[in-house]
Amino acid sequence: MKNRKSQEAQTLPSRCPDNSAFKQQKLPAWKPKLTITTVLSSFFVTGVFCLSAGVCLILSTNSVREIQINYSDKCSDCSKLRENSSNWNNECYCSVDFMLKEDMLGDVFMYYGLQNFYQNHRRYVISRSDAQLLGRDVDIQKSYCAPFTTYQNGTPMAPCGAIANSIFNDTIDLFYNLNSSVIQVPLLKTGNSWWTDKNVKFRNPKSYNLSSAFAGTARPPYWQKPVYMLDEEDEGNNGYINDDFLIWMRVSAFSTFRNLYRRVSRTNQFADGLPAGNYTFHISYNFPVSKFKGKKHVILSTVVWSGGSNPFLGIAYTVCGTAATLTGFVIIAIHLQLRKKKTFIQK
Amino acid sequence: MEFPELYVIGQRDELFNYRIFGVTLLHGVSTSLASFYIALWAFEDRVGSKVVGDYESFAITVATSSFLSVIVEIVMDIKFWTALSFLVVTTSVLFFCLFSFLTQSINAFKIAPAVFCFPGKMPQGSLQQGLAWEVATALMYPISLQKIRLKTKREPEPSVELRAHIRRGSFCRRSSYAFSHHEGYAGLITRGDSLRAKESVYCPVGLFLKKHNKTKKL
Repeated sequence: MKNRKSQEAQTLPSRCPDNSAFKQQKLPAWKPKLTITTVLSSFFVTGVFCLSAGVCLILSTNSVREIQINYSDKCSDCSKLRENSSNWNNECYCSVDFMLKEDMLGDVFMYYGLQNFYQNHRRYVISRSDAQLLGRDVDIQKSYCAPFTTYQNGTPMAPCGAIANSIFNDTIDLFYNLNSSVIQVPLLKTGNSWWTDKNVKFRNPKSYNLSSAFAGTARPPYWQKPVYMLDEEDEGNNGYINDDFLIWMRVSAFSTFRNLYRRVSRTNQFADGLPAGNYTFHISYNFPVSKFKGKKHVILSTVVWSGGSNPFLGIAYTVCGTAATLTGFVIIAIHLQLRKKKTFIQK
Repeated sequence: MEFPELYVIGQRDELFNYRIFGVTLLHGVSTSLASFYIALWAFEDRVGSKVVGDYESFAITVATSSFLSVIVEIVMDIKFWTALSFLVVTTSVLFFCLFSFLTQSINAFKIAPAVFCFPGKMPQGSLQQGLAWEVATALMYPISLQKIRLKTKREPEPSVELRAHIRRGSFCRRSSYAFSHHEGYAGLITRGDSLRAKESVYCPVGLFLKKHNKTKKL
């Protein structure tokens, strides 16, 4: 009887897991001890770091010089003209005067700002064909460009999609009024886009010249010129790799946004930036915004290492820094109180 | 049933009830909102040599800050750090960086431009990512450390009570047969400790002594 039982016990496998540290859940572990010194030091270090970062950010933000001018309200004749789309071929010019009270030293950037224009709309954002913009011969019917894919006679649009179709086509020039003479401020139109956009994401189709590369395609309906005539002076800025086009195709995340338009070229009397004085914008008004109650601005701004005139990050860091330091002091107070209580009980 | 005490926690819904669910839901919602809105307010009207308020940068910043907040929450929650915990946390972060790099690489874009539409994002977005997640985690850091501090204050109290209860239970269950075979309480009585000590620990012995005194007086 006993032999049989022991034999059965031997044939049945044991259900216990192996006696290894991993399977018996006896791995060596480190338990972080929250002693008063570690907690306090971490709070104060974080507090000091955040405070200093916040103060630096606020100081640098305050050193940014910026001026923003709303011109869609000032150019009311042109905006009324553009409300009627049959006037698309009529040119409309508008002048806006402004004065710079102090010099804008350093690199000065000119932006156009749009308000209430939702580039982050769900169907707008996908309305593009990245394969076509790489210069490849693809069937754009398969992309999300609809309804901006082909015309009724079958000619495909280059580039297709709603994003490309709605490109910002105002022309803005800046003039400096010195005594009685008017000087045009030299502006740079290249070097404004991302390197990856210019060299990787957008490529022109290859052929012996650019207009033949786009043979068999037509401009999008809202454009005045076909894509190979966007900048005929510079081959490196023509076609799909035009800087204005690239910047527009990089859609914004918000309904109020600004896009880099031109940079002030630091030559002649603008070597240090823009001197104080009277200036004029001459704008060729093409982009209609009044129908959707949008607004257009021109912004001139200098740049600092932390980005620009948005004070939010500086304030957020300062608030976090003060909160951390205050919490540190509160912990010290509670710790001292507990210490007094403990000594009282022991007596 | 071998260990009925283990099921009491489940019967009383101590680890998961409506209150805990509500608190967890609120915590998750507030973390997500903070992650989104801090990125939004930081990016608004962002001026730079290359404007970075665009859709892709914003999306990557929000995603990275949510991921890093989750990692920080996990780090705060782990009490016993084994080699496995270290490995898993660092591997998560490394995998995130690796896959961000791969999906945003230029080669991936060339293979499938419709799918991998964010080429070359890593160098540009890193500064904004760093700023955004630092603010997000800095906000959660004091809250979680306060929670930990409160927990360490409460811990010492329950353990003393439990032990007293068990001892009382084992004392009261002893039979008279066991009492008669014990060496007796002469030593305890002559020492006089039981008269001065707290009632909760020596309850049956105290009662026995009172009865004994009464009979002696009579």
